[in-house]
Amino acid sequence: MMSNNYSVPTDEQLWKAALNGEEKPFELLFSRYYDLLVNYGSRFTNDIDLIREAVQSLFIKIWNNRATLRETPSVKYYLIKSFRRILIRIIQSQSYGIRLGEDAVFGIQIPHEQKIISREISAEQRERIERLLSLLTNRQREAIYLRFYENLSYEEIAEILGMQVGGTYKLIYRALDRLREGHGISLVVLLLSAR
Amino acid sequence: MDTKKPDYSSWQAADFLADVSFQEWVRSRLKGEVYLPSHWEKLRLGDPRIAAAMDEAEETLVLLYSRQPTASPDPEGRTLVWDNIRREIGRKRASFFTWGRVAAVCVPLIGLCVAILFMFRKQPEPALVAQKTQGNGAFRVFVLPDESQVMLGANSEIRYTKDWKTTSGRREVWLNGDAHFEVKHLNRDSLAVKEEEKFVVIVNEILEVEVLGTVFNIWNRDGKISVGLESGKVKLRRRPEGTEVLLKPGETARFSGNQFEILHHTPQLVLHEATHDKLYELNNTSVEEIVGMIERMYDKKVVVEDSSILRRRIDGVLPLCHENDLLFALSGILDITVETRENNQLIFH
Repeated sequence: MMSNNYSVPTDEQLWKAALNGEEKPFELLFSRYYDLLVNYGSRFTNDIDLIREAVQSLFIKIWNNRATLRETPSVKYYLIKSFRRILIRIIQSQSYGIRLGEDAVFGIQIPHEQKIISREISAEQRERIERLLSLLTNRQREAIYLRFYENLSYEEIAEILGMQVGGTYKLIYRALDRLREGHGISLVVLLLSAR
Repeated sequence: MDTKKPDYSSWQAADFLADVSFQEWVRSRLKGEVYLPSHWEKLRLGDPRIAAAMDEAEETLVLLYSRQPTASPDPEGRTLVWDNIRREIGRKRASFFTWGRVAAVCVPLIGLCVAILFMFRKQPEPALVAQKTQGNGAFRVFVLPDESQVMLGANSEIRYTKDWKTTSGRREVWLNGDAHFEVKHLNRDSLAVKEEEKFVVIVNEILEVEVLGTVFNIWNRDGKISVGLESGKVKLRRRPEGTEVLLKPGETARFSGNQFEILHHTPQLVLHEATHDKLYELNNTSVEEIVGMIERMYDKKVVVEDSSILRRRIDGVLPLCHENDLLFALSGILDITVETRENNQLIFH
């Protein structure tokens, strides 16, 4: 098998190598996903230490159980799903009496330096998005996040949220419809001028 | 399965919003990717009421996709957490190696052997990088040293020098087989192209495809080379010296060894992203099964003209998440042409 310095290994190739006990691919996988998981985790809690603990525990578990883990068609989905479970357990163990369960509190903050293509989102637009998102339920927010930030499929989101695919479709459908009703701003011009 | 085309006449903005294929369409445009003149485009032109609903859905999606998470929210934690993980897994590993002295002797020995092997394997300059695929569906996607992306079809090979330097200074890639290219644009001034900004693919040693920031496909079928251009500009030249043809987007040139034939349609196959989230693993899978999967996943009706194709079984991997990549890979494996028709029909022939 010829190796090539220039080809970028897929997550799945790294995963496979990591399961074989190769540390470098494992580290690469960690650095590919650290930011994503921290970002996702920060929707559940503001306590960065809990989020770090969950990431650490996830990767140590994967390494220790690598003999029993299998190849997966989507590493991203696997990591997000497992991370969510670990994080919620950690949060629950910290806060006695508060049950997060399936309806974990899920918020979305809009980062300030984000851009639409090359243009800044105006403060007014940002405020509008935030107001709109506050109209949604936790589950709706999380489903929207997973679909539009992480580009997971409806099937994968259904698995993560413990729902039927049809239910997830309806959940997202209603959430999107609510978002649509709430804004009348015309961004079509922006989109068209970008091409 | 349901093969009928959805009746869009009753669709509201919300229906478009929640439709996966519509979402992908909007997203690919936002990312500045090349996208196909899809059926959404046609639908928008057809009926003003539907167009309004589509525009409304699109606005919301644009807003949604514009809110991507920030990069690196916790750089400090990243180092910290990895150090902890490494310490933890290192501890396990160290204890593993204490089981005998044998290892202490063997490891350096093995190391020595490996070192000797490497000394003998060292290749002469300039080192050549070759990427090869076999016929069993092992298509490959990879990135060239200049960040151009290549998807290599089945039974194909590509070669280039490792340090990416040629005597002329231009970027050169040698291809036998099928490939899809998305070439990184280096040229700043399109009127004065410097030699080192050129990207050239040499196909089967006899055809030169000279490129400027471009997306295109190359097929080898029945002894003919087809070059289909999606965007940008390419010049075709017969090697060593010969006729030249300039190709415009949407055109396909077929080269039979001494003459060109220009066709005014591009086979509609596009590589979206070089990094695939999902690959579909085939294990002696029948084509019939794959066709069923395509119909289910993309809500398409697949018409196979030669039904014996359905009984063939193939191994390898297929990209699952992007319909066009899937079809590109499949057309290479089965040596067929895939044609996209209206009414969500795909014709295999």
